[in-house]
Formats: sequence, structure tokens, C-alpha cells
Amino acid sequence: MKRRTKLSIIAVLLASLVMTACGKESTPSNSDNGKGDVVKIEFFQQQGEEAIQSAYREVIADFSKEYPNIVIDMNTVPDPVKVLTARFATNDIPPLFTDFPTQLQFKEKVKNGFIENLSDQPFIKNVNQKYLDMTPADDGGYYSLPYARNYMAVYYNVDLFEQNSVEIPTTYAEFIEASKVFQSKGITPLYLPLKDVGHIFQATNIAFAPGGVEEMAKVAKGEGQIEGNTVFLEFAKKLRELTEYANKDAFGVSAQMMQEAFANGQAAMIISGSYGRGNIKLANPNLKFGAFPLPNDTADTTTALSGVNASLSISAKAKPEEKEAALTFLKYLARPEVAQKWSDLSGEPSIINGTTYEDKYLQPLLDFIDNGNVHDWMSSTLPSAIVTELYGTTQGYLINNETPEQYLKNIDETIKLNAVK
Amino acid sequence: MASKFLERSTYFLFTLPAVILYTLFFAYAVFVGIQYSFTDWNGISSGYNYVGFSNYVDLWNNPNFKQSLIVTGQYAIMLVAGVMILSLILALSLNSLKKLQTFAKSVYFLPAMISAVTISLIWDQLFVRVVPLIGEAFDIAAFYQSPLAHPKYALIAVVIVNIWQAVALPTLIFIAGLQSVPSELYEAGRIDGASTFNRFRYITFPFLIPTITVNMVLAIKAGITSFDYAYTLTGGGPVKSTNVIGIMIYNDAFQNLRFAMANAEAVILFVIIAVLSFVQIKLGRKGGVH
Amino acid sequence: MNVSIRQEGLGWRILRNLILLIGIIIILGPMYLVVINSLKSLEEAGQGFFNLPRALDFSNYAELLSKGNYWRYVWNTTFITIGSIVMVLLINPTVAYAIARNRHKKYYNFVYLYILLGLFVPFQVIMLPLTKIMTNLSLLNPVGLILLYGALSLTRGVFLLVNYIEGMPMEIEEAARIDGCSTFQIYYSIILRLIMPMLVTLIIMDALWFWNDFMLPLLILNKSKEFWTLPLFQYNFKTEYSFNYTMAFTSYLMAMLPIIVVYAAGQKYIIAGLTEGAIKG
Repeated sequence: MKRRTKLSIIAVLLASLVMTACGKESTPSNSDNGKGDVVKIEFFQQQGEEAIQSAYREVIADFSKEYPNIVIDMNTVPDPVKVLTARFATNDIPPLFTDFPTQLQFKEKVKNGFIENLSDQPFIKNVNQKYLDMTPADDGGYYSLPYARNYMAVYYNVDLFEQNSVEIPTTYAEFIEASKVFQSKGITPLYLPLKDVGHIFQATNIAFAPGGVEEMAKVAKGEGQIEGNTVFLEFAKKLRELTEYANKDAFGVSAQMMQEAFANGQAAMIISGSYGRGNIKLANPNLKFGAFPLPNDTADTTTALSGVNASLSISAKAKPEEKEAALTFLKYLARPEVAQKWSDLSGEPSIINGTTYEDKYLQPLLDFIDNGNVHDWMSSTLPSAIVTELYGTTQGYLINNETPEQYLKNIDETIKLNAVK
Repeated sequence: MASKFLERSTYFLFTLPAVILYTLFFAYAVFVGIQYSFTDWNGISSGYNYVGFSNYVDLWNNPNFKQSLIVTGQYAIMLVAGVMILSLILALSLNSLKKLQTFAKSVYFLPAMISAVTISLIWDQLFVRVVPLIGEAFDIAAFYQSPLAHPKYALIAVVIVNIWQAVALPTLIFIAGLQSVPSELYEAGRIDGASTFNRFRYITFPFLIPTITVNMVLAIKAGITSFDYAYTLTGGGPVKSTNVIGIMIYNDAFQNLRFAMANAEAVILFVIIAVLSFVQIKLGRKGGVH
Repeated sequence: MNVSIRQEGLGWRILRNLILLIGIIIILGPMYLVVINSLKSLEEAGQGFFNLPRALDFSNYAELLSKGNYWRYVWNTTFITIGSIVMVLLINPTVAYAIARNRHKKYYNFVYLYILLGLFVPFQVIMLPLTKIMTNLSLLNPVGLILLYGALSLTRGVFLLVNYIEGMPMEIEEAARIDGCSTFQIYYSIILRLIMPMLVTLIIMDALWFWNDFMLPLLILNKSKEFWTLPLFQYNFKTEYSFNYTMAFTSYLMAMLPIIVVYAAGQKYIIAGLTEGAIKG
């Protein structure tokens, strides 16, 4: 009997082997527990940071009190970006998942009809318009609920700044000045995690080379070049200069080690993503720290890297009852009071209208993001393959002490090599 | 009647579960994998086209792929050399140990019990936290940072961590090989006045050749397909200095939307392993005592 | 003459003991650092990485265990390892025996070469197709993983066992056959016993693989934390907690602990089992 089913499975597979295309109709089999009307859906949540996970856990617990017949099973895995891609590739799409709607990868998923259109859902209107405007897919529709914004910024140790009477720098010259003050007092001015150079590269490039991402996108299309671009040259020199004020072991340090070091007062400043905030708070709840945008030559030319954080999407391949349950959950999440609670717990700035952010030290940065120059993450403009390859190029520039001119040449080469033909 | 039929087909039935499972979960997967390498599938799109050998041609022209092949080759050579030499020395040492042999063997086999992920995470911490202390204490500039931070040293550091674990099993296999040498031969050698080295060269070594072949084949495959250590320790960096093919395949498949290309890379790896193993086994057959 | 041998012997013995001692330090040193630092707070570790902990502070352990699922992961890993070993035992020796005794027949020789070919296939080739097959069969769960491990264990198992069985004398089997034993009886009551040393070697090697594997569980068991194994837990901890490295050390230790306990209890058998199979193989 068993053997027979196995054989028939093989027969089916062999047949599909001949026809090459296989596996069109598979559906995730999550809801096999047929008890009553309880719908259980998997929620593939990409952000592994403990603070964010526990915020979701709390909110889900509240949700299940109100909707006892829907079970949201949050699932956070190692290497989530790759696992999610693998699941799309195998047609095993989680019914509810977080993803990055501004990225080209996401738009590719939308184009292939994998993701449910949420444009007509009333709760979409609860999202801050500015951020909503960053997320439409190529067809103009909204395929996700953006839930928080993120940013790259300089976090500074408030006590160290006060003790050494250093003011928050608003220009690059002031930033270097401040670094010199700390250096002269034997305090590491800037703790850099150059093992994970990626986000440092993104933050510095966007801060020091306004319009740089668009230039690189042109190169990817086969137009123009970075070599000889004076703005990029300026960026390269500043990036090198930053490393002169950094910790000696910067190239061996990962982003998490940086968070740990900063939390323990080992450095005056770090360049960190908003995602680092929760970890720093967990590592040292008593640390007073604030944030400001990484300044360029003048306050007017300063641009902060800020974008939409992981947003929530629903699989278009999910069963109707799973979609229904997922929608109910999104509707719940979009309530201002729920978003507020989530934001308070996770430390992530919510972009649901009607929420406020209670951290006076971070407020100046958020105000800047609201009113100043902002640029999105690179992979909204460039294919992620190019972006990640540029990390290696940047590492090479810093570690091998290449000249800025060589670095720009290498950027050109990397982009051309990885551009989609 | 029925039992007679059963008796006659016992052997056949014995092969059946294995053949079915192997076909379904292995051979078929290999077939599909090779098939994908001839398409332009990006991993997400719902359809794909057959593009012949164009992925292979692209790889041939891709300096990153060549660089990755070179890194993989260096990795494999260092791993094989390190594992073979160390495990042979350890096996000889352990085998001649009279006291505490069991204890020493247990310690030496301990790393084989632990997962590559855990080992890599531990060494990552040690590299960051201990090496700079050594660098400061003895004022060695190269050790101011974790060796994983240097494009020059990172690969060696990753291989060292891999060797730390990979030596255990070959050592045991070598010990087994040493124990298969009849002790009369040693007696005879001793009476003839052969030196320690000559005894090793002419008595021990021929008996070890089969085990050397086994260990070599295993180590070469482990070196060429390595993934876990480099991925956990460095993710391929810095500056791609540890970007072994295993990592390149994984990133291309699941991150860079180049799924078909990743499969072509894997197929090339397959061919390389097949050729090397074939040569190895041929060479191994030439000499040695069975 | 006599003297010269003894001198050589002494020099060698000193060298040998030195080598072994250094090796033991290199192996146990990292373990020692993991253990002592897991018992410290972050602050204390910052003051002295190599110092013994001031007091036995198990709060890291308590916190790790309070985060829930540790025992679940231990159980999953155990279940998958044992289940897969059962699969290995069910399908490996049978097919190896059939092949070894029928190599002259076309079908069996084909099966042999067919399975051996797998030795050359790097995992990366089958990584995604395999995931796809498992999805289509709704087998993205521990049971599916066990079936997979069974199939993937065949290349090494057949390679080692066929050689081993072919090296065994036929006389006992022939005698048994004359006594009227069926092939199955011969297999069950004679062959299985005779190949035990090699089987033990195989089981140990496979068990270590199943227990410590990372990639396949990541691809097959990512649907729910309920399915996770220890290596997944371990890797995940990297993103969740590594800003607190004494906590990370605790997680390393906890991830290793079950297998080290098993090892401590059975190291004699494990090592003897591996050596035994290797001698005869």
C-alpha cells in the first residue's frame, strides 16, 4: 500500500519531468488542524532583532484575544531574505510575510502575480502619505502595508558629548572637529563595523555623494561612468577620513559587536541603522543616546538615508480563508493604538498616522527626516546584486589602501559586471 | 508458490526502497538541477526560457567566477594538506602512545562532534577578542585585528577553523590503518636495523595507502564544496577573499536573482569533483597493500 | 645498536608528547574559554576575558532557557537524528547486500554505479530542486527531512558497505543456504551481524551529519520554529543576541551540550566503532 503510493508519486514526478514544468498548484498546507473555524496562518517575519520580535509577539497576543478564531504563527528564520526567495522559488509562499516593497526584488514578485493587491483596503489610508508614496509597484498599486520607517544615522553617546562639551555637529567639518576632541581625550570617536561594511557604505555614499545612487543606476544602464566624478571623489576621501577616527580593529568588527561596544560606552559615536537601537537598549538599558544625520559639507546638502522598513504583504496564492485572516490582522495592525504599542515595544518609529514617538534624543533626527533631504536604500534603485557587490569593492578600497581614483574605477567595473543584461 | 517467488525476488526487493528513494530525492533532483542550468530562470519569475549554454559561456567570461574558483582551489589545497599532514602526525603519535591513549583519542575526536556553525561562531569570537590582545601584547601589527579582517589572512584563518574540526575523523581512520600493519613486520624491521624513518617508509606507509586514498577523496570533496565555515565566519569577505564557490552559488541562487546561473556554477563544481575523484582513485589503485 | 634505538625512541617520545600536548591545548582551549565566559556577565568578561568567573553565575543559562524552545530544538534534533538512522539501517545494508552478491548481474551493477555517482554531486546542485520536490509532496517537515536523509545517506553507505560485504567469505552463507535458510533469513541473522562493525562506523558518521547539519534543515524546516533543530537555533541566535557575547557563548555551549553528553557517555564505543569499521573497510 505504502509502496504503491510512493510508486504513484514517482510516476507523477517522472511524467512531470518529461513535461518540464511542474508544481504549479501547490499550496502551503498550514491549516490542517480542522478544529472548528480556527484559521492558522504562518507569518514570515524577517526581522530577527529580539526587540522587534517581542513587539510582534505582544501585538499578536492582543490580537488573538479579539479574534480567537485566527492564529497568527510568527516565524523568524536565520538568513530570512534568502529563505524567503527560496520559498518563492519553490512556490511555497507564506500567506503573510514581511518584505521590502521599495526593492526591485519585491516588484519582481508583484509582477509575477505572487502578491495580493492592497490598494483598495481602507487601512492603507492610515499610512503616512510620504512613506506610502515610496512603495507603489510598477502598476501604481499598493501591495504591502508599510509599518515603520528606518534610517541610517549617527548615534551618539549623550553623556560623552556633554562631559566633553561637544555640540551635535551639523556640518562635516564640525563632525571631524568633534571627532578630534574625542580622540585627544583618548575616547574612540567613531566605532565602525567594517566587517559589515554594507550599510556604512550606503549611509556614507548617500550622505557625501548626493545623487550618487542615480549616477550608479545610469552606469548600470550602460550610460556614463563614476570614474572622474568629483562628487564621488569627495565621498571616497571622506569615507577614508572617517576610518582615521575609528577603532583599530574596525575591519574585524561586525554590526552587532559595534552595538555592544557602543552600548558599553566604548565609543562616542557609531553609524547605525534604526534596527540597532533595540539591541543597544537591551545591552545597556541605562545608556543615554541620541541620533543625528551624518552631515555633509553644509546643512543644506546633508541627506539622510531613510526608507520604509519591512512591510507586511499577503500571498496571492494563499487560500481565501488565509487571505481573509491575514487581512483581518493587517487591519488590526493599522489601528493607531496598536501601531503605537508596537512602536513603543520595538523602538521602531511607526508610520501609521496618529502615532507619536517618545524619545526626545531621537526626535531631532526624525524631524530632519520629515523635513529635510532623504534618500531611500540603494536597492530601490539598483539591483541588489550590484549593491552587495559594491560592499566588497568598498572593503577593498579601505583595506587595501587603494587610491580614491582607483576606487571609482572599481565601482564602475563592479556595476558593469553585475548589471542585468 | 508465493514464497518461492518471494525468495527469488528477495534481492530485487532489497534494492527497491533504496532505488526509489534515491531516484526521487537524488537522481531526479540532480536532473532538474542540471536542467535549470540551461535556462534563464531567476528564481522568482513564473516562467523561463531555455538558453542553451549561455550561462556557462557567461561564467567563462566572469572574472568573479574565476576568482571564486581560485579561492576554492586554494581553500581545498590548504585544507587537504593541513588535514592530511596533521592527521597523519596525530595518528602516528596517538598510536604509539601507551598511557592515556583513550583519553587523548577522545579529546582529539571531540571537534568532530560539534556542528560547523557552532565552531565557526566560537572561533569568530576568539579571533576578534583574543587575537588583538596578542597583537597588542607582542606589538605585532598583523594581529591588531581579527585575521578575518585581512584579505590576506582571512582565507587561512577560515581553513584553520575548518581543519580544527576536519582532522578528527581522518586521524581515526589513519589509526585504524596503522593497526592493520602486522606487528611481525615491525619486529623484522627492527631486527634488520631499519631506522624509524625507514620503518615508516617501507613498512607502515604501504599499508596506509588505501586509507590515504579514502582520506584524500573525502578531504578534497569537503574542500571544494565547503560552505558552512566561510559563510558563518566571513560571508565571503573581506573583499571576496573567502568567496568560495559554495557561497557564490548560494548568493546567486537566493539573493541575486540568478538562479539558473547558480545551477550552472554547481554543475561545473560537479564536473571538477568527478574528475578529481576519478584521478585520485586511479592513482590510489596503483600502489599499496590491500 | 640497542642504545641507538633507545635514543631515537626517546627523542620521538618527547616530540610526540609535545605535539599531542599542543594539540590538546588547541582543542580544549576554546572550549574552556566558552565555558568560563558563559558564566560571566558582559561586564565581568570585559574586565578579564581569560579570568575564571568570580562566581558561578547561571543567569545567562536561565535567560536562554526561559526564551522557550530550547528543549523543543533538542527534541527535534534527536527525533530527526534517530529517525534518519532508522532509515539508514532499513535501506542501506539491504541494498548493499543485494548489490554485493549480484554484481555480475546487469541490474545490480547498474544500481551500484547509479548510486555511487552521487558521491561526486555537490549538495549545491540539488539544493533547490530538492526543496521544490519536498514542497510538491507536502514534506516540508521533520518526517520529510528524515526521508531525505535516508536517500542522501545511500551514496556513502553503499560505497562502504558493498566493499565490506564483498570482502567477506561466502562459506557461511552457502552453508546456511544448504540448511534451508531463505535469503532474507541469511541477511537478517547472519549478514547483519557480520557487517556490524562497518554499520556502526556508518551510523556514527551519519548521526553526526544529521545532528549537525545546517543547510538542509534551513531549507526544509523553515515553516515554523516548532520544527527547528539546534544548528538553526544556534545560527539564529547570531542575529538575535550576539550583541551580548557572554550570552552568545552560553548559546554555543547549550547547542553543543547534548552531543557532548552523549559523547562523554559513549566515547569509548564511538571511537572503537569508528576505528573498527575503518580497519576492515
